[in-house]
Amino acid sequence: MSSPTELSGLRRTARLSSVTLAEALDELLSRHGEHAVVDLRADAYGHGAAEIEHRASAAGVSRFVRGPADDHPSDVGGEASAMLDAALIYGLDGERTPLLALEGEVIATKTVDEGTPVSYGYRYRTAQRSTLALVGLGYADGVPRAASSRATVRIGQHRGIVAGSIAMDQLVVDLGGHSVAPGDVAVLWDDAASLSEWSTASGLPLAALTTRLGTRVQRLWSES
Amino acid sequence: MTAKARIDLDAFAHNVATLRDRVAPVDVMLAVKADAYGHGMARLGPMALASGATSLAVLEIPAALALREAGVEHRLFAWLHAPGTDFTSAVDHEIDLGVSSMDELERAGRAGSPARPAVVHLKIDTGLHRNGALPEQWPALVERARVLQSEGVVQIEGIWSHLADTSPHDDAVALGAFNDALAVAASLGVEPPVRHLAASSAGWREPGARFDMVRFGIAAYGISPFGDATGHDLGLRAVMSLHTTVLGASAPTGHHWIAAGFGDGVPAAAVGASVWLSGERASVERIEIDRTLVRSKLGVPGEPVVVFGEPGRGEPSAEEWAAWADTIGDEIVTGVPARVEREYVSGENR
Ligand SMILES: Cc1ncc(COP(=O)(O)O)c(C=O)c1O
Repeated sequence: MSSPTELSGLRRTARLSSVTLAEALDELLSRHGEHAVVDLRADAYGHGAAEIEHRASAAGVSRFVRGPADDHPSDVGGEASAMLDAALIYGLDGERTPLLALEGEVIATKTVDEGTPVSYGYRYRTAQRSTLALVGLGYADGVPRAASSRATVRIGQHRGIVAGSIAMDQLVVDLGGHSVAPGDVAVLWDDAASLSEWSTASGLPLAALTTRLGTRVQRLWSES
Repeated sequence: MTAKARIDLDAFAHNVATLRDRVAPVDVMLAVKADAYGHGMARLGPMALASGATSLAVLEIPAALALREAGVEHRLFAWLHAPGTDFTSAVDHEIDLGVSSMDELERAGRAGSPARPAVVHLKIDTGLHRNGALPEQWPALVERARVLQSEGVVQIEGIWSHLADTSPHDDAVALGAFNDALAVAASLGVEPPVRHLAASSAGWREPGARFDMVRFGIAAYGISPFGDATGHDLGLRAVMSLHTTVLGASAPTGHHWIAAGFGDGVPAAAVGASVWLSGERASVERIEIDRTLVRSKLGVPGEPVVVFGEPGRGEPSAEEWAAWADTIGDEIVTGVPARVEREYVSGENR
């Protein structure tokens, strides 16, 4: 009998770049030297506090903000500076490459006619004969439902709009005439432009997007 | 204190029993996907079964296996599968599989054997256009399942779909498509015992959509599936409430910081929101990662605050927060991150 724990289920990945973090830490340390502070609140803005602290410590940072909120303003010289540094470390200023890229997996595809309704409430209809890709990420994973029918997702070479309501565990991407396959990686954001797009589409600050990511999303560091 | 999510087990048991009574003699399958909508599957799964549900819906196989490991022996239903999933452990642990495509069906057949067939529920897409066979794919899927059943490797336990909760008219159209799919299957000699279509919305309001089983989710957590009635109106009770305290940090006159922010599940985009402080509503002015600024003349450091909870006590409900954040209550409760401690209360401790 196979072991219950060997199955991993759907791939939901927060891909973290050690190179991007190392560059940000260099910049932080050259700005502030021994006063450099890394903000670890809310599990390091959803990135995983243990790993961020470990890497920052190895780079020479010795001061960290962990909360609770009562002790952050005084010991680091005001929340604004901690926030600025968080934007630098996690790439959340809208210009830097975010430290974290969010990826899901195409579970199934379907070709449907023009005018086909998609997802709850039928608030979206295809504008043409289209390929729909079902992606295994939803608002329980932290993908904001407010971005429904607004934000886009990149699958392979193609970018398509989120078709209709983002559900608890799933979303659908309308790829128009392009075709993709089950197992393909679906990238919600991986650079400043795509992260900003999700922020605008959802009305959420950049920091809230990463901070909301759920536990089904596996944090994976890439070292190259 | 840092933020804490309190889970009222009595309220959950009450809601499950209410749903069971409403649809009896039809069976209730309770949806505990996404860690029981953020409430904690390990506690609420067994509780649902003790309160009137006869089976659990879990989304993915690994969650079903975790329940089996915890000793749950009832029917468990998983329907969202990673491409290429090997169904062997699901079959070994007697997990019912939702099957949407020929490819999934073939893999189920390979995992099954005459000694232990794969138990499948064939899914027809009735309009949501997520997974499920399109009507043009349906006859071939059913026919192939029948062949695999005759070989003994598959047992066709159910035919199912999921509604779009768009309008009574659209649900009626989907119901028609579901009945058509059942008729096609019957004409091929396939008439499984468990036909299921409805979730909370149609399960509550449309008796004709209940068939043999209703898969209730959100209503069991005390949140209404409807725009025109709250959970409280339906006689349901809030299960999750989000608690914290007033901070000592200095705040503008007539304001307080409370120790919960968007990192604790306070919806960052909410407009016009309020929390429950000193027996009244205190309006929310600013939401940061770990704290929220509220307007209140009362309130002293350390005093308890309810961000959302039971509207019957005056506290803002998850549904109100949903309206303030332009979303649905489901996203409010699943949005409370797992790192926020869940405190389970019942009886005297409530
Ligand atoms: C297949 C399926 N059944 C049942 C449910 C429960 O739905 P609800 O929470 O609306 O009751 C869901 C949730 O989305 C679902 O995906």
